[in-house]
Amino acid sequence: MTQVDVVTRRKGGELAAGAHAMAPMLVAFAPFGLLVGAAVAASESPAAAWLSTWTIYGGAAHLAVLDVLQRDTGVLGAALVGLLINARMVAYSVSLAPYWRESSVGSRVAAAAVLTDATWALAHNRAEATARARRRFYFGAGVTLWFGWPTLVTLGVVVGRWVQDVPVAALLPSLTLGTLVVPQLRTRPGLAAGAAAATVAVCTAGMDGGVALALSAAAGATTAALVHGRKA
Amino acid sequence: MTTTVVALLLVGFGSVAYRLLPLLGAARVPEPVSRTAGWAGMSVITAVVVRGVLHHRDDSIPWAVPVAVVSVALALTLAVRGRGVLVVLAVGAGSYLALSAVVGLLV
Repeated sequence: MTQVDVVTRRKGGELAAGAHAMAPMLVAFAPFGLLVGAAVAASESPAAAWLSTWTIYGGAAHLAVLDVLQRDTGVLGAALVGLLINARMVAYSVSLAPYWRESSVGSRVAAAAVLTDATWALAHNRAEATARARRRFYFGAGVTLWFGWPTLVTLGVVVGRWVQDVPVAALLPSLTLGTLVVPQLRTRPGLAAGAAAATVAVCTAGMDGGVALALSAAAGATTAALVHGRKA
Repeated sequence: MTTTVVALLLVGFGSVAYRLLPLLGAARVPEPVSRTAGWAGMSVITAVVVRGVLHHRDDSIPWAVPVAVVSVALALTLAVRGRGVLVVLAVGAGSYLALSAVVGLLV
C-alpha cells in the first residue's frame, strides 16, 4: 500500500466514521423531523416554512417559530423566540473555532452550514483526534444530517400528523441528545456544567425556552470554568 | 402570509449569522473562550433534555412526567455504561411504554 493510499483511506475513514456516527441519530430524530414537517404543512406559507429548514436548521427553533406564528403574535415575537432558541449556535461555533483556524473560508462556511446540536456534540466528543481528523469526522456527520434532516421534514409534510398521536415519540430527541451529553460528563468541569445546567433547567421549566436555555448555558459555563480554575 | 415569510427570513438569517460569524473569525477566538463556549453548548443540550422531559405530555396516562423522568433516567444510565444510541432509545421507549401500562392498570 502506498502512502497516497493510506492518506486517502484515512480521509475516507474519518468521513465515513462521521456518517456512521450520525446514522443512528437520524433514526432517533425521525419522529421529531416528522413533527416539524407536520407544522410546516400547517403553516400559512408552507413553501417558506419548508425552505427555512436549511437556514434555521434546528428543529426546536423551527417548531417554536411556526407555533408562535399560528397564535398570531406578530413578526417580532416569532423572530425573537426563534433567535433566542437558536442562540446556542454561537456557543457551538465559538467552541469549534480552534479546529478551523487553518481551514479555507469555503471550508468554514460549509462547516457553519451543517452546524447543529448533534453535529457539534459528536465532533466535541472526539477530543482525542487531531484537528484535521476532527474536521473530516465533522463533515461526515454534518453532511449526513444536512441531507437527512430536510428529508425527514419533507416526509413529515406528508405523513407527520400521525406522529402527534404517539406520545413516546416526543421523548426520543431528549434520549438522543442525552446520549450525546453523557461522554462529556466524564470530566469534572463537564460534570459540574451538566449538574448546574440541569438544576437551572428544572428551576426555569416554567419560563420561555430561549431565556431558560440562555440561563442554563450561563450557569453551566460559569460553574465549569470555576471547577476548571480550581483544578488548575 | 407576509408575516410568516418575514419572521422565517429573520430567524433564518440570524441563525446563519450565529453559525458563521464565529467560524469566520476563528483565528481571533482565544482558547479559554472556546473552552467556555464548549461548556455552554453542553449545558444548553443538557437543559434541552431536561426541559423535553419535564414538558412531556401524554393525555392517555396519569403521571406522564414522572413516567418520562424514570424512563429517560433508566435509558441514560445505559448511555453512561457505554451503550449505543439505538439501545438507549429502545430501552427508553420500551420502559416508557411498560411503565405507562403499569400506571394505567394501577390508577
